[in-house]
Amino acid sequence: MTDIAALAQERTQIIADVLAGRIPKRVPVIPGITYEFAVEYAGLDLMTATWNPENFEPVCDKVCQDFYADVFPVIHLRFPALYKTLGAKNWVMGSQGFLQHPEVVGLLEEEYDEFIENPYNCIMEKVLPRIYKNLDTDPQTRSIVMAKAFYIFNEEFGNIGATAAKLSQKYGYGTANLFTAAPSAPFDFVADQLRGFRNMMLDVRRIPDKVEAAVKAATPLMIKMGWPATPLPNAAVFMPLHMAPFMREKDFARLYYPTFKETVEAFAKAGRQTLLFVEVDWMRYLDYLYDLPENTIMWFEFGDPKLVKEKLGKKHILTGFYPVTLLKTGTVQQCIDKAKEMLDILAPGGRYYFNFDKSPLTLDTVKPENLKAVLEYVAQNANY
Amino acid sequence: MIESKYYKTWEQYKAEHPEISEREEKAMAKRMQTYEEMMYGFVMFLLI
Repeated sequence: MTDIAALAQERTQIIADVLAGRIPKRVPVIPGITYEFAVEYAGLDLMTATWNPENFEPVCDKVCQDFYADVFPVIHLRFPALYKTLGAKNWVMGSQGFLQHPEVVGLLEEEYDEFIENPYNCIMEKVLPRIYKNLDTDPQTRSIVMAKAFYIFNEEFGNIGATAAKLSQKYGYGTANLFTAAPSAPFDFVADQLRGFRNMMLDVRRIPDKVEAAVKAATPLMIKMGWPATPLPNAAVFMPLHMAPFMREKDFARLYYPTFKETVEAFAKAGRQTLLFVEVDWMRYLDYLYDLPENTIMWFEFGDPKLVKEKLGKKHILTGFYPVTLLKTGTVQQCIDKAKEMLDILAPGGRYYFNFDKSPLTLDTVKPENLKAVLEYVAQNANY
Repeated sequence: MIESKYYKTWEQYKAEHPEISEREEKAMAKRMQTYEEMMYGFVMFLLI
């Protein structure tokens, strides 16, 4: 066996151990580095480089050379060619070349019943043409726009998959895919791009029965979206959680949690773990998180890591908490000290892999030397 | 399972196309359903 193959095998094993709740040989290092950060780090212009899929491999190669990771680390999800072709209102190019997500309303209040009756029909007929203005046209033109967009979507993801496989072989990365699909919690799905944040908060108070029915109607769509077509080793469905920290607990308990739990349980029953990105602060919901299926992976942004380790650390898989902002403001030593602190709290007993509280978005959000030092430190100093 | 005129399972598709022979079905079912699933995945991606 070559050194690279042995390295890949070792990495795959420690990830498998963590995801199964076993204590691994060492703490796996699984950072998510955005393609936008990677483009700028490689010295390319963000505004133009993301238009050309041929840039993906050399840009990622540079990141793989310079930053330690146990799994291919680059995340790429937003494609300017796709959103421009569709005339997107939900993803628009910012002045620095970063795609921005403004508040949008894809579903009007008077369309709730239509959505509840048949959500997928309603998405196709009402929501998509409202959010994507180039689909709001005659059927012939719309079919051409959809054909172009579908081609771009497959071209981009095909390129990402091929590059990830190639660089995984080159650098001996472990076999793991924690982003096999990205369904939302059903409440978040209705909130994010259908009703919008502001409207959803009003709807919860004014028409909770409609919200509840819409969230229930959306649940089979979310389950289908993340449903594992084929068994994969070390695989998880990625689910970013958005709205709960902004809700009253009684609304969360009625409108958010039941279908969220149903969705995660459906994946667990099908043999697929869920990686929850627990955005903002969920400390008042830890008992709810505890009740999710064993070995649900929870990537925390804010909160008390000691409390989370104590309450959830024997049942679930934890990651996150390390404040990525420190990589911008701290010295190398301060950043390493913070890594030690996180390891001391979260690593004992296993069920933990290292990641930051969120991904560095662009080059100006961290000092690359700090990022590099922390990843190296954890890789070298977190043996069991 | 979702019900929609924009998404069909193979069984639903076959029911609408009685001209498909058993021999054809063996060759086409998996491929046709794959395209259906790909389009579903694409449409839902547009809302995340």
